[in-house]
Amino acid sequence: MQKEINEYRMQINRRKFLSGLSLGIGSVALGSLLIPDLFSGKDEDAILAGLPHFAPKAKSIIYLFQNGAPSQLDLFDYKPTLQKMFGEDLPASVRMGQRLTGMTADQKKFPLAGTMFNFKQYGQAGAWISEVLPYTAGIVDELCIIKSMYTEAINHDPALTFFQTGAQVGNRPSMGAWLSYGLGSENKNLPAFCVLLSRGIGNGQGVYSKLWTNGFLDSVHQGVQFSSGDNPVLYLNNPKGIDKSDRRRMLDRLEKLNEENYQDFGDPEIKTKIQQYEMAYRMQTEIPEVTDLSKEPESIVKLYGPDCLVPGTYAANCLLARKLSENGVRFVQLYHQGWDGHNNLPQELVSQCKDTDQASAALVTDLKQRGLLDETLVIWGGEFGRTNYCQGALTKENYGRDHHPRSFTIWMAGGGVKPGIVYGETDEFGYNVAKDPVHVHDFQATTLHLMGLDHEKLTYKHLGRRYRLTDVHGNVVKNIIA
Amino acid sequence: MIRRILFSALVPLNCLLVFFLLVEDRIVVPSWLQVFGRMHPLLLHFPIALLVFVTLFILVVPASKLRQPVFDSLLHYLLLIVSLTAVVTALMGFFLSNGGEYANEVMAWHKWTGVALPIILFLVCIFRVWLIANIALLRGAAVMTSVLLVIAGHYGATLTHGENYVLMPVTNEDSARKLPPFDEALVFADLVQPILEDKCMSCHNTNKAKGQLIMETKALLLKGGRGGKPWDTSKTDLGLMMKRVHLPVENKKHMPPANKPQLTADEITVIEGWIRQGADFEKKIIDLSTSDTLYMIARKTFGSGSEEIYTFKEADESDVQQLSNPNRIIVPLAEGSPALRVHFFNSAGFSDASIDELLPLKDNIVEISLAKMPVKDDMLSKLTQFKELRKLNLNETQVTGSGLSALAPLPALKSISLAGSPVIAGKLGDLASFASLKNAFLWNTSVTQQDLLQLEKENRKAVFNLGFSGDTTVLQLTPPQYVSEKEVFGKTLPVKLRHYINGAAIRYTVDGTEPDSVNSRLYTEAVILDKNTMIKSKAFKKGWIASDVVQHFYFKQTYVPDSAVLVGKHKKPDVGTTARMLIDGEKSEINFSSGMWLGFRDKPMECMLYFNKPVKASNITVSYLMDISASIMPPQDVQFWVGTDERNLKLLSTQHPRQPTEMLYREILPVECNFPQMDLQVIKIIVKPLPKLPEWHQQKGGSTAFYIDEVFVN
Repeated sequence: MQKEINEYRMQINRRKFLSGLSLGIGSVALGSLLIPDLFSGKDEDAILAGLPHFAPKAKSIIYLFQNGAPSQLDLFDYKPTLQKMFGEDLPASVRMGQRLTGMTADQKKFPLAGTMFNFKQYGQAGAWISEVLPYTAGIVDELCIIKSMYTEAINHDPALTFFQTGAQVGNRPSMGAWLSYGLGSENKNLPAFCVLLSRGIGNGQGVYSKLWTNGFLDSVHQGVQFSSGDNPVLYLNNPKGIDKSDRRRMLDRLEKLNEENYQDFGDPEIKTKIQQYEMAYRMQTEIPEVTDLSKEPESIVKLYGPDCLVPGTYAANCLLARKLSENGVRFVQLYHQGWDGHNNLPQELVSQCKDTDQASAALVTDLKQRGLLDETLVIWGGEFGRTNYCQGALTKENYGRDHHPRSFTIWMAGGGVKPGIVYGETDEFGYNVAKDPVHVHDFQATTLHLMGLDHEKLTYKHLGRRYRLTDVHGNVVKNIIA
Repeated sequence: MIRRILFSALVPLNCLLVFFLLVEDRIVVPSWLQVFGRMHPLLLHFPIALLVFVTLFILVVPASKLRQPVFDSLLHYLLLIVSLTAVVTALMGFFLSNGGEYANEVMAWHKWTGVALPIILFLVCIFRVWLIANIALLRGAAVMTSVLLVIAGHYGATLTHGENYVLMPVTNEDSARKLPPFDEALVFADLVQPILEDKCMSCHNTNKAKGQLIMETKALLLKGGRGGKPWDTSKTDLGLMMKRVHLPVENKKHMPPANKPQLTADEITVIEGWIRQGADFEKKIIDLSTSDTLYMIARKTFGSGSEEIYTFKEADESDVQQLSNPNRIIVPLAEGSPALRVHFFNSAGFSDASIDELLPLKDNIVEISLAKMPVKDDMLSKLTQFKELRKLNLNETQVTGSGLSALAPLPALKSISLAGSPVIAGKLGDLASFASLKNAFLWNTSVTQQDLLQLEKENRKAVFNLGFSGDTTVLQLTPPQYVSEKEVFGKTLPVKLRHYINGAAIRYTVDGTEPDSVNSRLYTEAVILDKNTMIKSKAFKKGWIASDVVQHFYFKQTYVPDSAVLVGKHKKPDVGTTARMLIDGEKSEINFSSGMWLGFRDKPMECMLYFNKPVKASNITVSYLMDISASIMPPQDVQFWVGTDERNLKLLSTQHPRQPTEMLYREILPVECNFPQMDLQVIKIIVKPLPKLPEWHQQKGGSTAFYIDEVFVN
């Protein structure tokens, strides 16, 4: 009896509640009209992939990664104070207790090592450039030199991984993979993301395939590593006794099998696999043409230097990068090893510069003379900088420098960055950034921006979270954009 | 009782309201009352909600019912509460407005309606009984107060949120100011004026005209306010406006007033820069120097000046899809952009129709890349209809230039690339008539520097780019490369020499002398070796500096010893394991950590090699590594002892490998001992290291090591 009384007083029972609820559902349906694409079946991320978010400045990137960290103090960041105070201890007020690597943390003294190379000012911005980079000095009016880069990592592998993937620990997609994902391939006969390796005789640091990984993105976005031998892309040629038509028949049959498998399992990687086989087939004709350097005119050989025809050299890779980029490869990633000058730095630096200076500058000139520089972004730089104090014994002619993440220099050219400017400054000791700091994430955000991508919108959902190249950081450096 | 209290409160409050209205100009609101005033927007929601409810109540409930005591007293309560909250709200509004901040037309409307409302409500309370008797009058009064409420509320909201706040999402008037193209933008109209509108004109407008200054138009600005013209370019402080902007914020005369949004540093720079440069209303941004801070700020505001806004309609998406294929990529510049760009790939897939097929998209295509396609002059006429074309890439096509006139009618064509095409300078005259041409790229064509000057004279707006010709550049060739199947051979070995640069001649010697461009043999086909040989070679080419000499040693191996042991004091090497490594026939690569070297640091090696049967030999060769930077030097001396058994060994010779005198690149070199052919069964080799590193070495005086990998007997 009490139950009925309660029910009466509540003026509600199950029937009333449920019939009332139907109105509630109706209101939810009405509200859902405000969510666009709710029932379109399209994934939000998928909609974004494929086209720039806004009109891009650059269509492709060539990234000349100087692996091992070149010494900014001997190349771009001229600090007379270090020469004046040569051999004196780094003032504690400059370092402010910031961490050092295990390699010099135990040093009793941190003697300042002014560069032994001569610097001069070049170009409209009066940029200081060292005598070991004569060719770079010659194109300085095309360059945007950023002197105020800084990073968080202090050792090679994390720093390199951070630069390339936005995280210090591996397994995130590389920059090239993000661009491939965001913009796709321009030329359907070539991969969107190619990787070229070379090394100098300086102290080297490893590069690993994790740097050009697709991470959690579809494996079609992985970087394709080119090798220096007769077969730039391994396993691309038909085996002996198989000709082109055999290969075609084989692929057609394989596609049917894969398609059947896809119908059964629905794994998107199977689709990727089919696409990749098809692209490899088309690459069989495209790659030999693109990688053939023998038809380049003599002026090109003189521009890049005679090494450019010797496979596997940095110069050859620069030339190849230009050809790939010209043929619609979205992102060409070069790595040149040997910049890790812990000791014998001057000697190693000279030889590293000899290997790279002419070809880096040539690439910019070459793109320009073809009318491609405005749509191709060239980036030159390492994973961090080097210390202003000496590692090991210091003499006027010889010194070493340890890792330095607080400030270092990179340059960009073409692709919508302002030409002929120097951005950012370091303090008089070249230790900390004094003006306009640019974090690695800012660099990444800016690079994506130049390609027409909003770094906050280029996301991929993985393990229940949307990931970005810039994680939750990064500001576009508007002041360097033309 | 409650009703009476409420009513008695209404009387003084309304009186106060009327009083304030009369002496408005003379009131100074104390700060604690200002706090009360600022709660005006909080309280005003009560009279609004209640009044709407009361109006509906009066309109909906039938007259007969209204007269029933229950409804009557309910209505009475409601009216009293509405009146009370309305009058308190009005008073608060009064305190808030005091100070004259809002002295304009909108404010006036808000004030008068806002005051009328509580007073009318008060009257309704008084005449409630009489009105209920004349239900039509009651309803009329209810509707009238509601209308008054809407008007007062509307103007109040306008004061808080600005004009047209509600409809803004629909009318979209708030969306960013339409910026003109960068090269047409004016310093005043597009940089300075927007700042004045944002930060100054809320007071300095026709309605409010504080200090009698109105900033709305050029004429009114020039007229100035009470203090005269706002700027004076002849003064160092640039006159009144900048002076007051630069005053400390606490100063009463600082502008904008402390309680208003302040100017940012960039905004001050803009206004100041404009005045400093003469306060010119017509000056274009593009006429400023690019290093001018004003110009740089303008660049920021405008983003990139090169960004073009395309006004034509989007193309049919199905056309785009249909015409795209792997050899002809057609994509919008960006998501939602009507502009398309086209990139042709794979010359084998290109046909005469390839361009024609694009005609349905002719009004949308702004960029075409035909690089490397077999495009001939006559095909260019097909591009005449692509009126929106901005950028055309004809690099490495078959265009000679005679078809370029077909492109002259294209109004927007800005950039044309002809690098690597067989263009003839004489046929490029048509480029002069291209209206918008800014860049032409002519690298790697027959166009000369002189032709270029002529072209630049004909078309002064465009930049003609010749690029790098390298004619005057003289560089050093790289050394030749050696190609052979192996380094160690039994009877003969063909060695090929190669150079990657076309036309480079290779000259070489096999006798140890330095090759030169006259006497040494010119390489044409593989060199066949039949004995231990050092090949030295050098590359030559006209217009280049000859390469450095490069050398390579090839080892012949006729007899392989059957066993080997280390003897003497130092049987344990620093690197490697046993003497067996010296006769295993496996030559190491040039890397000291390959694991195939036998290395000794600071101590000699003594090694015995045995043949099971005597062999007829005339040469023993030891292969060693020189890697100076790793302090691996050539040994100081090498003694060769031979005989038929261990006890009868005789010293054949002691060799002293040439010591380097400067830093050299690492190399694998031989130490040879030649002798008249003899029978031998046992060989003893004693190798002594260089005692210390030479003076010129970075670690001068330090210990040295020698590394050897094989011993060959011929």
